[in-house]
Amino acid sequence: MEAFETSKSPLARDSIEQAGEVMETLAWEMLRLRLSMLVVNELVKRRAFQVPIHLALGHEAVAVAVSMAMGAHDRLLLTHRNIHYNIARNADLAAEIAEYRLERDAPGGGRFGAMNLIAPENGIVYTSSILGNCLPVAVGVAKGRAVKQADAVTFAVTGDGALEEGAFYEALMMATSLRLPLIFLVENNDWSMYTRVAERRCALDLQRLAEAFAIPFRRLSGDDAEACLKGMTALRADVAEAQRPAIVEVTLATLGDREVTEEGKPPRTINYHHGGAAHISYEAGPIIEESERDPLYRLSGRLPAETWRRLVAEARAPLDGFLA
Amino acid sequence: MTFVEIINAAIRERLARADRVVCFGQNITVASCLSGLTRDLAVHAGIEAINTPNCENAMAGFGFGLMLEGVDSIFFVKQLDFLLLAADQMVNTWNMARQAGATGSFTIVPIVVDSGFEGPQSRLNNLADFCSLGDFEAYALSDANAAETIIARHLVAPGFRLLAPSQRLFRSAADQEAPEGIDGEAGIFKLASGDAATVVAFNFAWPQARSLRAVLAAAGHPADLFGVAAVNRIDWTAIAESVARTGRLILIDDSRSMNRPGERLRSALADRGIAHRALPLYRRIDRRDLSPNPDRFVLDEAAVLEWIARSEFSVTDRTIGHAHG
Ligand SMILES: Cc1ncc(C[n+]2csc(CCOP(=O)(O)OP(=O)(O)O)c2C)c(N)n1
Ligand SMILES: [Mg+2]
Repeated sequence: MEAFETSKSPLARDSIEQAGEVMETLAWEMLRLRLSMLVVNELVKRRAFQVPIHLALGHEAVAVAVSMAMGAHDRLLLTHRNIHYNIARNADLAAEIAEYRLERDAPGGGRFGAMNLIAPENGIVYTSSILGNCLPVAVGVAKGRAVKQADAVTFAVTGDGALEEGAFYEALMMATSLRLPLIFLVENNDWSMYTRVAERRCALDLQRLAEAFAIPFRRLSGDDAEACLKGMTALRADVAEAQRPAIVEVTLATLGDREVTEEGKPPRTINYHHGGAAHISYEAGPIIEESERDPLYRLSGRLPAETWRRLVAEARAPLDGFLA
Repeated sequence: MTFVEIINAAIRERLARADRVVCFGQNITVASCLSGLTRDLAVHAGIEAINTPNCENAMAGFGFGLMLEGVDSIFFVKQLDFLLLAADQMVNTWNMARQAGATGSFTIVPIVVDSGFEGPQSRLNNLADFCSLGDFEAYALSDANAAETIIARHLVAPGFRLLAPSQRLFRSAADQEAPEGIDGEAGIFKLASGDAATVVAFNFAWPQARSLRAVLAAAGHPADLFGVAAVNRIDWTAIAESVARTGRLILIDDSRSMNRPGERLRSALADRGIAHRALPLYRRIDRRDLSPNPDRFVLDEAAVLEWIARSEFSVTDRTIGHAHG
C-alpha cells in the first residue's frame, strides 16, 4: 500500500485550455463510463452477481471530473455507491466485473465485494458501506499524505443521506482544524434509499455550513460535464494551494427511477437505489433520457453530431463482447 | 516512580526508537497531560503531538486513515467510555483496513476510569467487550513490569490494538516484583510459582491476585500466579501446564463484562481434558454500581483458603461484589 502512486489522470490539468481536445476526452470518458455501467446493469438483470450493486447512472459527470482533476498522488475515498469512480479510474471493465464476481484473480482478489470496492493502484484507498464512515478516514489519509510531504489532495465522497451522520461534522471539524487539503464531495441526488430530503429532514444549507467553518464552498450541476470538470479542477488547485478543506455539492439525478400509476391514485415516482434498472438497456443507450437530467444527453448536444456518433461507436466496440 | 510515570517513560522510550509517529488526543500536551500519561511525547523531530478537537469518531477514523497511508499513530483517550463514540471506526474501518493490507501502526491508549466515583457513565472497565466486537488485540496495563514489556512490543507495530492503563493505579508506587517469566507476545506473565493452585488474574485484578497469593503462601499453599494482560489471541499453554500440575484453578476478574477470557480458559482446559477444580472469582454485575461508589473488588481470601483445604472435587462459581457503603 505504501508505494503506489497514481498516474491514471487521462488529462494533464494544465492542458485544460485546449478546449476541443478536452471536450473529446471528456465525452469519451463519459461514454465509456455510461456504457460500462449499462453493461453492468445488463449483468445485474441476468443475476450474474451475488453482491449488491448500486449503479450510478446520471453520476458520470462528477466521477469523470474528479478522475480527470486528480493529481498523480491524490487519494479518493468512496461510499456504497462507488461504481462510477471505480470505472472512471479503471479502464479495464473486465477487472471490475471480476471483482463483482468475487474472482480470485481480480485486482483486489474479489475480497471487497461491491460496496467496499477499492483500487489503491488508482488512488481509491478506502471505500465504506457505512454512511459517513469514510469521512473521518479521509482526514487521516489527508494527514498521512501531508506527513509524507506528497503534493496531494484527498477527495472524500458522501451523499445527501450520509451527510446526516455526525461523522460528517466531526470530519469537517477535524480537517479544518488540522488545515488539511481535503475535498468533501457531496453527491446530492435528493434521495436516501426511498425518502427524499424533504420527506426525512430539514433543509441544510451547505454553503452556510462551509461559511461557518470559513472554508470554500462550490455548487456544481451534475448534468453538466464540462462545468463539473472545470469546477473540480479549479477547486483541486485551490485546495492544494491554500492547504485547507473545501465542500463541493454536486446536484444530480440518479437515473433509473420510474413513474408508476395505479388505478385511482396519482402517479408516483419509484426511485432507483440499487440492483438492476429494469427499463434501462445497453442497447438503447448511451442516452437514457432526452432531458437535462441526463448528463450524456446534455453533452451530446455540445459536440458535432458526427463526432458524437464516432465516439459512441468507439466506446461500444470493446464492450459489446461482455454481453455476447 | 508511580505507575503512570513508568508508563509515560515506557511510551517515550518507545517513541525515541520510532522514526515517525503522529500522537493525538484531546489536551495531550497541556495542563496535566492526562495525569502525566502523555507528558513530553515529542521526544524528537519525527514525533508529532496534536491536541485535537473533541470528536472521537473522527479521531479513530483519522488513525485508520494514517494507517492506510503507512503512517504510525497513537490516539490517547482520557476515558475508555468515550471510545463508544468511535465504535464504528474501531469495528468497521479496522475490518476494511486489514482486508486492504494497511501497513501502518494504530494504537489507542484509553485510560480506564475505574475509581467508581465518576458515576453511571464511567462504568466500562474492560477491553473484552470491544475486542469481541472488532476482533483486535488489547492489553490491560495494571502492572509496571508487564506494562513496560507490552508498551515496548506493541505500542508501535503494524496493525491495530488497544493498550489501556487503569487509572485507579496511576498514583500507586510501581514497586511490584519483576515477573518470573515474561511472554509479552502472548500477553501472559508468570508472576510467582507454587504447587498448591494456579491463580490467574485478568483485566485489572492483578493487585488482588497478588494479595491472595501472598495469603495462600503464608498459610502454606504457595500457588502459581499468572497475570493475563491480553484479552484476545491468548495462548493458554503455560497456564494449562500449570493447572495440569496443581489441579486447582482460581480465576480472578474484576471486569464488568459478560465476556470473560477466564471462561475461554476453562473451555481450553476442557478441550485438553485437564481435570481440575475451578474457583471463578468474578465481579458481580448489577445495577447498584450505577451510583458512585468505591468500586472495590475485594476477594474473600478466607473463603478461598477454605476452598483450597477442602478435599472434595467440585466446581464452585462465585461472584464477588464490592462495598456499596
Ligand atoms: C450507518 C448507516 N445507516 C444506514 C445505512 C443504510 N443505507 C444504505 S444507503 C442509504 C442511503 C444513503 O443515501 P445517500 O448518502 O444520499 O447515498 P445515495 O444512496 O443516495 O447515493 C442508507 C440509509 C447505512 N449503510 N449505514
Ligand atoms: Mg442520496
